[in-house]
Amino acid sequence: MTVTTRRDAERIASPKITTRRLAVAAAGLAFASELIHLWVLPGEFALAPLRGMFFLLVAMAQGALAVNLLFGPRRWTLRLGLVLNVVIVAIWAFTRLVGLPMMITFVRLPVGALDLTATALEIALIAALIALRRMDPSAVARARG
Amino acid sequence: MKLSRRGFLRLGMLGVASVALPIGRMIGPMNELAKAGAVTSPPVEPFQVPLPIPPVLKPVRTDASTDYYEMVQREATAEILPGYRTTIWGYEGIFPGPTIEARSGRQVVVRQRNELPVPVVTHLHGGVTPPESDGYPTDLILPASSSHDANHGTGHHHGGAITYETRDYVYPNQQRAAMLWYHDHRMDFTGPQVYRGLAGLYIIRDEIEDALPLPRDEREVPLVITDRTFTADGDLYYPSLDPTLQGQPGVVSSFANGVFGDTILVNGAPWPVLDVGTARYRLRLLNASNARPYLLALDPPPPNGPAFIQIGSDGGLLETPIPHDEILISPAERFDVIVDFGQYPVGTSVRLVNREGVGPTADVMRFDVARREEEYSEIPDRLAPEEPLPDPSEAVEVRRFQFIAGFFGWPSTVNFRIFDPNRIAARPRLDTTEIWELHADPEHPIHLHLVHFRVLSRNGGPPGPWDAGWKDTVFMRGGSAQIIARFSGYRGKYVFHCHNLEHEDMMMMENFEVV
Repeated sequence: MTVTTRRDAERIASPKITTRRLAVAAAGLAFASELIHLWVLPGEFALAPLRGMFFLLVAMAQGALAVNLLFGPRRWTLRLGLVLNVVIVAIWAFTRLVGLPMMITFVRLPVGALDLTATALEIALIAALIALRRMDPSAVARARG
Repeated sequence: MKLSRRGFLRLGMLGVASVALPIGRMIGPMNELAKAGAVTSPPVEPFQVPLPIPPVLKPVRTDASTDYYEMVQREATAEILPGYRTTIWGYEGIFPGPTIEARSGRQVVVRQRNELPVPVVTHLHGGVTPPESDGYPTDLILPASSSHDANHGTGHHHGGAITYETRDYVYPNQQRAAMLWYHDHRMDFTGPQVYRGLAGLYIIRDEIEDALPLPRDEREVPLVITDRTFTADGDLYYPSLDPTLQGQPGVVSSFANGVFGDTILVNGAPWPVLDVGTARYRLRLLNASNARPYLLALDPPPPNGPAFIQIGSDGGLLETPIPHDEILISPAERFDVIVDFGQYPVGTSVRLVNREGVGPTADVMRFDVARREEEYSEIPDRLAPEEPLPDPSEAVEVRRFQFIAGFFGWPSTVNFRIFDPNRIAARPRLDTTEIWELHADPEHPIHLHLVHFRVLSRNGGPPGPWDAGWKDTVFMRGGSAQIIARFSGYRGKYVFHCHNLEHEDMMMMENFEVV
């Protein structure tokens, strides 16, 4: 007969709770990023349909990531979410530091409050996804339930 | 396959978050895009409305050196299309605004009062004006009654000298006789605010011009040419992303290359008609359209001689008259021309046409030669005293600027940079001469504040047929032009930009600072 002490129970349950909380927080970040992209989507689409399509795809992907994080992410979800957000942040940084490619050169875009907020959220999301990936795979799996 | 309740919930949330919400947000702008291309003005029979002449504003007071004016920028309604009421924003509630008549060397102070719901800035186009009165795009007059801040809704802080409700603009008028114009110049929103009516004439006169036997009084006719589109109920249609002009600037993508209206207005009236006598008339042409250039001609052309004798340009009188059969006038340019209606028999209708227009935009207005009139005017061979071209060998700097229009929503740029109020692209020294080499793609009327310049060359060859005289705006259709300017008058920060107002609002602007 195996006797499970209270301390043992907490030790087993704790990573699950932490992972679950982290996954929910990451889902919140992804959802917030989606909402910001959706907020600016109509204006961006009307102004520049190509840029609008990019915002649409980002919003869709962040929405899908948020839901998957809520329902217990698999490792491939975390990997995909990580790649997605690294790419989004890299594109943002590139267009602000180097610029949008235009003919033979680049046009730097200004930094605005909303895009800065979205980028901050995405950087936090990247950190959360990395932390989730580093956790015990079984804990991540248990976090689904 | 059996779907658990949890699986169903997950699928449902996935559908909402990653499909329904994003696609739902797209419906509005897609409708907006579809609608934007489909708006056409109510039909108007051309040549039915008499040409109105903007009233001349009277000073509220004068002293030994200065005339003081007051203007209120406010919303009003006007009957632009017969039978329709149109909401406009106007100086003194009219469109075009009242004309200011100034004397060279005599100072004018205009107190602008903003009763509109948005910030405004007033620029005297063609004025040699100190920087604090030049109408720098971020020197806003905020509305007294609103919660606007200096960011004016865009989220970008632009700095600038902000005032509430009023600002006094000081115009020293230390310049030659010329027809200037004043218009709104608010950062990011110049296009829609001018489109709603914030533009008017400012005419400087001097003794040199007074002494010439040119047509005057009712035979000197200002023609402010604009194009507008109206909605079915007669309101102005401008495809702003935010029609309140308090949030996101810009126009829907299909208008990024300029807002072109389908109704031609002259002095605020659609395709008007003016009764003239058999005599010479001085037409003072201003293209105050947001983006449309016009290739003006007379139909029928006069039987003998050219349609137009050009006597002046943006910067005032030419030294000698120049004949033209047609005149290409881009946004913000002015041409001072004489038309001799004495060459037509009484009863002739002469249309001022736009040879680049199609359908309704091919007509501008009509002159009906209605009566015999005695001729008192002449066109002297010598107009303004000779002013030698600035010597290119005296140029202390040659600068190169490339104006590239944005496409697919990419911003419009100068030297591949979007406007930054804090960046200075050129620092000419006061009272020095510089050559600026301008490159444009595809089509830009390029305007420099503060200075008047001469066109030295186009594409390495001679200047074009419409480049004569002192100019503040040069129209370029691709290629390059060299201009030469002397940076005199005042030290300080000014802008130069494309005067296609949609390009300007989409950042095709740069600073220069006279040091």
